[in-house]
Amino acid sequence: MNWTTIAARMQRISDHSNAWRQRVRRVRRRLVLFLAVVGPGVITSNANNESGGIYTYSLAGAQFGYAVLWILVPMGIALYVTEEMCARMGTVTGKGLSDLIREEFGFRVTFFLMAALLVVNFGNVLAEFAGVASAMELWGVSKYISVPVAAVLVWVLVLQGTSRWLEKIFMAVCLVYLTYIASAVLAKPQWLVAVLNLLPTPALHWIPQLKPWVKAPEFSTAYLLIVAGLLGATIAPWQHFYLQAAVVENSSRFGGVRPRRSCRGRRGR
Amino acid sequence: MLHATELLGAEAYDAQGIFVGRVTELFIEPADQPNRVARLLLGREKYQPLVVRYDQVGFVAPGTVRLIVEEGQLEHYRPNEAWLAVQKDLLDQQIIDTNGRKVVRVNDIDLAEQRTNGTVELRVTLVDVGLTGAVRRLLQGLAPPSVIRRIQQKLPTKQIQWEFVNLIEPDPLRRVKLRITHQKLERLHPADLADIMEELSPAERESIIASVDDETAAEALAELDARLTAQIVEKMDPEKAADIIEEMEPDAAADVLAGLTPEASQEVLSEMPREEAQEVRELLEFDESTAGGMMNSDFVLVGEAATRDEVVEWIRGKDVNLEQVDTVIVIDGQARLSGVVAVARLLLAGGEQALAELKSEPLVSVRAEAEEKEVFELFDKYNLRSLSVVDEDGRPMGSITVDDVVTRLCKRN
Repeated sequence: MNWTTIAARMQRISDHSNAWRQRVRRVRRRLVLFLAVVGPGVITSNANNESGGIYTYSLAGAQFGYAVLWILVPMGIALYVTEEMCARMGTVTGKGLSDLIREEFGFRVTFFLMAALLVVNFGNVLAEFAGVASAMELWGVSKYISVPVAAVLVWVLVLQGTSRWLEKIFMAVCLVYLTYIASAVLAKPQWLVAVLNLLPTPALHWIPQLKPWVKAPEFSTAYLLIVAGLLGATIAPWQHFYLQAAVVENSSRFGGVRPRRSCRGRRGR
Repeated sequence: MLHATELLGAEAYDAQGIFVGRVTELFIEPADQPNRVARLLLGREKYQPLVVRYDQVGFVAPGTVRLIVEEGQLEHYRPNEAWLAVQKDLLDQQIIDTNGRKVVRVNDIDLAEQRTNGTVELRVTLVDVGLTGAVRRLLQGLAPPSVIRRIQQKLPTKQIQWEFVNLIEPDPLRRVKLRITHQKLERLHPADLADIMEELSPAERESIIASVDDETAAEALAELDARLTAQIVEKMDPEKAADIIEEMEPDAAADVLAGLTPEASQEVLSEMPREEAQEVRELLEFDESTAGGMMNSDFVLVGEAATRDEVVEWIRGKDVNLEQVDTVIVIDGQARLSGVVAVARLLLAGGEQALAELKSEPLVSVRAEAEEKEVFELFDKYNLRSLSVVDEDGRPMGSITVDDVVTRLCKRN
């Protein structure tokens, strides 16, 4: 074997490994892109399960049992439609929701909307801290300790953390929600009843054969209040603003591109 | 003085004093006069809207417009792309303040009345982007205009002169019709232009890059966040992208191309002139975290024996970025790096002095494979402004300037 054949063979090996490296890089890019798109969605839908939501859902379940289940279906569809709309608007325009509202509906509408959002968000924050207090008291930690600690923690995260970093933390926290599946099984529900009650019960209970399982809701004030609460807890305003902002941010971060090199370029000629 | 929002919704009466409709839009015709309100649109509920020309208006006050013609003489409204709509295209939209070098949102527009034999022309003078406009928008219709005006007098104003307003219109056809040029943007510092672009949506960014000259586009793209740059370049026609990237320094061009997908980068390179493409390709070979990945292959190279006058004359005749020339690299008979001469020394030296006498001591250089950390340490230790990069035989390949180092360091933190 002479040197030229060895060199040729070496060349072939290095070509091969280069091609392989490129393939790996391409797959990784696609994966990153996929996560960038999925991330905000997962976070939004899971962040929806905050303490306010848990209160409302458990209250609804405790008061009305299976009779509130059917609401989840239309509510889920409504949630899907609105959030998908926000994601689309973010992708197409590259602008945030409040920017678009202002451009389309003018200053005054936006102002009152934002003022309302501020109030609602404040209420939301209160509910979160109430959640921290009651959750930590389950572990025997006084609320006078847990709430200030949580407040400082949130403060630091918001002021010091970058949005990328925060997203990673949120993603990790989202894993906690896997326990929901386990607890649903452990609660030993009557699965058949549960499934049947997912169908629109107000219409269904007229079928006599289903009567033993499907209970028609009585449209009392308490029931309607709970329904409104469920809607409010599920389709919360902040999440649409967050989702759209995250989509805008991520599509500029990964708009088909690998982030790379200088934080700012250099001067041209 | 009048505000556009005081006029929107105003009741319009014709020469007979008969109510015609409400003002629903103001149009400017930039092709005709850049600041005159050329048309008023009158909405009439279930009837077709009418258009009032500027020379048909006799009197204007907040909430009221009087015409000098009768209703029958007004034209029916037909949409016109060449008309700039104050309500739709300006109010609440983003504009670029070319004087203050930032992106702002329009709260209101100030109009000046100009009386000429019986008619009133309205001219756009200022764009309100501050609190005054916001308060007016909020209170309009809820409080009488006199009260609103009184409140406003106590508020700080934030206004931009109409001449300094640069509209953002992503649609290129409409841009031509509205006579929107971005010449004012070309006069901004590229770093400011890049900051402005970062505030805009992708379509708007692309439209700016597409409409400024290649040189400005190159400078702005080099300053822009690398991800956004890649996003813009990948959407561009490769030929246009090549034109712009050609205008960049080779190292900046390599940075941009490195951010693209390999396919897109190849496509752009194939559109570039062979020599420049080759230069960029060589730079792309280096790992970004090494001296080779930082260096610029465009530098001033002279022989030891050359005199100061010869060198200055030679630089004069050469197309180099003068702001980037800090040092002249000197080579010996074997084309090896023998020293560097600071431009300041060149400035003070006698005309006949040979460059060999002016070399800075000690001779510091770095190999292309050196890690960036080593480069930073050399800059720090010797207080360098630029550092030569050499190959294994000691021949200069390029130079790293201090701004590259600052960029890298700011990225690391």
